[in-house]
Formats: sequence, C-alpha cells, structure tokens
Amino acid sequence: MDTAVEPETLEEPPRSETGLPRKLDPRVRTYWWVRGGIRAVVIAGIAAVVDVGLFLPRILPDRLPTGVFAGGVALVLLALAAALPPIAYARWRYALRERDLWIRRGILLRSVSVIPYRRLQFVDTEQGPLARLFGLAELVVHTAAPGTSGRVPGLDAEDAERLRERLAHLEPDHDDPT
Amino acid sequence: MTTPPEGPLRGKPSRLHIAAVAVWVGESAFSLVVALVVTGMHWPIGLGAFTALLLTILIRFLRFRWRLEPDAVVIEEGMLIRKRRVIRRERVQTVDLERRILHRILGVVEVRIEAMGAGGTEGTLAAVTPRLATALREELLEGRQAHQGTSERLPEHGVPEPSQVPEAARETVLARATPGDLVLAGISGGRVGVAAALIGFLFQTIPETWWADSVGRILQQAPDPSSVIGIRVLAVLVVFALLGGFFLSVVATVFVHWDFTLTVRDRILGVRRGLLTEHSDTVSLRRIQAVRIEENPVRRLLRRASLRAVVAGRAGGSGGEGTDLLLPIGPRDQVYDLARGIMGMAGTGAFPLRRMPSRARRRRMARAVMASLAVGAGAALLLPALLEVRATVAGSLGAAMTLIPFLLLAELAYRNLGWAELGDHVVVREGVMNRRTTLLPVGRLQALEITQTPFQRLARLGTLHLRVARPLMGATPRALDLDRKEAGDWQEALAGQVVARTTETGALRGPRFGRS
Repeated sequence: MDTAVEPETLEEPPRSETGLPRKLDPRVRTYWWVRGGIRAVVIAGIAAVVDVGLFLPRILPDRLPTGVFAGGVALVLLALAAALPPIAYARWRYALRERDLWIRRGILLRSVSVIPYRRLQFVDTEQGPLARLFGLAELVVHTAAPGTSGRVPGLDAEDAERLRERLAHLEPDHDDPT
Repeated sequence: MTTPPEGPLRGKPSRLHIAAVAVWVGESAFSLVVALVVTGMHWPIGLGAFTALLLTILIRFLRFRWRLEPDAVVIEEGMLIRKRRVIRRERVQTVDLERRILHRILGVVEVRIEAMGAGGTEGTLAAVTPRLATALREELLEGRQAHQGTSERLPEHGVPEPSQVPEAARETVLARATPGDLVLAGISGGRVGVAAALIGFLFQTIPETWWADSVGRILQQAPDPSSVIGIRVLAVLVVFALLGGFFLSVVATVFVHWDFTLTVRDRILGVRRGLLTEHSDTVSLRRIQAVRIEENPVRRLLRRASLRAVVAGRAGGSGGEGTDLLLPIGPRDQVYDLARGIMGMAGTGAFPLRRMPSRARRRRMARAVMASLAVGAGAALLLPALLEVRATVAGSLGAAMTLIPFLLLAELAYRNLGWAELGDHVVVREGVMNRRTTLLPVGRLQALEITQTPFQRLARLGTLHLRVARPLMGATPRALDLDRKEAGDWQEALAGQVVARTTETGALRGPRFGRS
C-alpha cells in the first residue's frame, strides 16, 4: 500500500534514518477529488441562491445575466478540486523514523514537521463518513503544544489503527540517558 | 470565630474569616449604589435592598466551608443549591494571594487557587488570615513536591522533578523594580506612549487652520473667527485630556507594579507587587517553558528591558498575553542575567546571536517598497476626492513620503532578527519596534516545524517554529527567515537533542544566579 520513495531534495529526511519517507495511500486522491467536488457543488449552490436573489430581481441591474456568477464560482471551484489533489498527493510525505514522526506537506505554504515520539500526548485516528467509504483514516498526533501539530490523512484504515497502536504504546521515557 | 488557625489545614471544615462579609458587601456596594440611583434615591427601598443583600451575604458566609484534605482542597458553599468543589492537589498550579484595600484595612488575604485544565480561578477563599493563607500556599505547593514522582508528572514535560535541594528552602530576592524605573516603565511602556507621540506629531505637522477648517466644516459652520477661537479652545482641551490620560497611565503603571519583587524559594518563583491592591503570585520553575526579554526603542536607549515567562497551562495572570510578567522593567544586564538564571543557563549578559542571511533583508526591503507603492496608490485614489490635488501628485507624494520610513522599519526588522543555539538552550529574536528575545531550553521543545511561503521559497528562506507547551493565547517562538538548508539541519539536530536531553534541561537543574 505505502510506497517507499527515494530522497530527492533537502526537504527529505536523512537517509540514515530507519523510516524512509512514504507517500499517502493512492486512494486519497480519489477521496480528495470526491470531497472537493461535493464542496464545490455545495458552495456553487449557495452562489446560485445569491445569484438568483441578486440579479433576477434586478437589485444590481445591467450587470450579469443570471447564472454567470454561480456558473463562474462552480467552474473555479471544480477546476481547483480537480487540479489540487494530484499536486497535494505528490507533495505529501511522511516518515516514521527511529525517534520521531516526520511530515512534509503543503502546496503554496510548505511545511516540514518533526514530532519526537517522546512528546506525544495522545494519538487519534479520525474517519469521516466519506473516508469510511474509501476505507481511509486520518492519524492525528497531539503534543502538549497547542494546535495539533501532526495529521497524516489518507492512510489505509487498518494501517492507521496499527500505527496508532504502535505510537500510543511507545514508552515515552524508555531510553533516558543518566 | 475561635477555630484554631490551622484547623482547616488539618481537614476540619472551617468558615472564612468574618471579614469576608465586609469584603462581599464592599464588592456589591457598586451595584447597590446603581440600584439606589435607578430607584431615585428612595431610601426605604435602598434600606430594603441593603438588608436583603446583607442577609444573602450572611447566609453565604454561614454556608461556606473549606478544608484541606490529604489529596485535595474541598470547598462547600451555596444557599439553596449546595455546591461541593474538590480541587485535587496535583492539579493545583498556582496559589495567588491578593489584598485589596478592604482586605488591608481588615487584615485579611484573598486566596485564589488555580488548577490545571480550568479556564481561570478554580477556588477562591475571599478572606482568611495572612498566616493561614501562607500556610495553605506552602502546604499546597510544597506538599505537592513531596508527592513528586507518583502522581505529579506534568504531561507537557514528561519528566519527573529532580530531588530537592535543601538549601533552596530559603526565599531569595532575585530582582526588585525601583520606583524610578517604574515611572520610566510607565512613560516608555506600551501603547499610551506611542499614541501620545503620534498625536503630538500630528499636532505639530498639521497647520492649526486645517484643524479649524475641517472641524468647522464638520460642525457645518462657516469658519468665521469666533468659531475658530472656539475650536482652538477645544483643541487645547483635547491636548490636556491626552496629557492627563498619559499621566494617569504612568500613575497606574506605578501603582500596579509598586515594589515589584521577584523571589525564588524551593524552585518556585514568587511575584509581589501593588500599592493599593497587593498581589502575591507564584509560578513553579518547572512550568516555565521559555522566557522572553522585551525591549522597545525607548527602553533600549535607556538600557532597560522587561522579562516575561511563557508558562504552560495557564493564560498569564499578570501578563495578559499568555505570559506571566516576571519583571516590568529593570537594567538590561540584570534582565539578561535573570533570564539565564531562570532557564538554568551559564554565563552573563546578552546572547551572541547569529544573523539571518542578507536575502532576509532584501525580502523586507522589497516588502517596504511594495507597501509604499500601495500607500501611493491609495493616496492617488482617495486624496483627489478630498483635496484639490491631482491623482499623480498625490500618488507620488504618498509613495515618496512613506518610502524612507518603511525602508528604515524594514532595516530595523532585519537587524532585530537573530538566532543561536547555546549549549542546551535556543535563543530566537524578532520584532520591528519592540524587540523580543526568547530563550528556551532544548528539552522544552515539543515539536519543530519549518514553514515556507512562496516568497520565502524564492529567497530560499524558511521559518523554524519551536513549538512549546505554551498557553493558547501566546505566540510560538520562531526563527524567522533562516536559510532553508540551515533551518533543516537545525531542525534535525534539535529533534535529536530533544530526545537525548529531556531529563537534563537547564530549567530543571535549578536557577543559578550570578547577582541579584
């Protein structure tokens, strides 16, 4: 399911670490496409209401014919929903390294996070109704720093469970020096 | 009221000091006055209201019981609905003491117990004797350390407390703000000073007649001489009001921070302050995630700085911005030494910081140019509608007038950036006017994240966020605009050290204080 890939840029974790960076489950692209499509349709629906409300009764006369505004919104959103998932998928990497979780993500705003296992407070898996249809789940790790610093979406549901169990049972202080 | 003072500490349910009645009446006095005014000073109604108030407060007093059990503080209160609050000892974060004017007249203290997970104060004892308050605080904070290792393991650190040093049991004064410095703090501190300076600047640069004309137009009066004089009087009054406000804010700063004293005892920092209302707050060194030194331009000229602590769990009581104020103002060198001492870092004086690459400066310069162009565009669009100027003139004037200040600010912002890794500690610095230097032990790091905006990517720069267990309101310490490669290397190195040095962080080793 997970495919190990070779390090390519300076944003890759050092090769010497045990866990090589992995891509997300390929099904996540389809999941993102469907989710983006649903969102686009919902927002376009709201736009259509606005459209009819504003332009049909001629509140804004001599502007746009009815349907152009809603149609434009729908087009832009659908285009984004279609174009973004492959880019996000190509960009996403995570690695379960010896002592920490490494996550790279972001299309415009890029980020690389390193979360030492010892700092994990609790580990969750999350699965929405749509994700359940695809058999996908999201792994969420929490540290004492506010705001969840680690989310790995698009994992095979069973893999995510296994991962959660593994991370949750890491003894936080097992290899203390002193 | 003949309960022996230590009664509640031995588990005997006890009332508050009888002075609590006076304190509560004092607190409700304002609403009573409002009620009287509303009812038109009709004194029978007032008397009735007062009696009712006194009765409720008396019942409240009679129903109130508190006691310290081996593992918790128990407070029972309520008139119709009985409430029972149990604050478990290991959840107690701080025990703050406060004496408002009434407390001081009556010789009592208010105790506030703050606990982990609660938004604010979990338990308040409105009035107890000072002796009992101090005893309770010591019992709660020190007894807790005796239970160390069993229940008391704050999750955010994941480290047990090292064994106690007996000699640390005495209280040591670390710093004290002098009255002169406090006046300086009031004058140089914060928004009031900036606002006053700005308004003064406006009054100097804009000709008086313009004020007269425009205000006259607003009042829809012809700007004839008599009204101009009236407006001048108004302007003078405004200036006096502003000066008065400024003076008041200085006085307020001095009153609030009067005799500000920072002490350490048993690895617990104590802050005492206040002229009218006396505060005595505590914060455990173990909970301090980082310290922040703040220097605004005025204070930098005077070689003064202030010190704040980023404390896990609680939005700061005295800090407001998710931090606790450790020293409102003090000599720069002393503040730096204090920061080092609290975070357990060797050496004295300021930190030798590394600069960000010069691409970070270019980025700020480019941003300044863009900003002044935007101001120019705004001026070209708006000014012709208000004044008799052409758009091109207004636009180029707007851009030209703002370019130099913006470039200076950009240079300042770049110069204030800095970072360093000094042994077990990390230092990052940023800020345009108010320079903020954050010092934290590597062992306090929770996670490390590098972010890159598209513009940072063009300049091969990145921001390293040093995530600590800070309060929700506080800002994450960060190294802004590092070289991207260097940021990556640093991230890896720090992540490795977090694991290796968790139990050895300086902050847990106890303060080392050169001078105090």
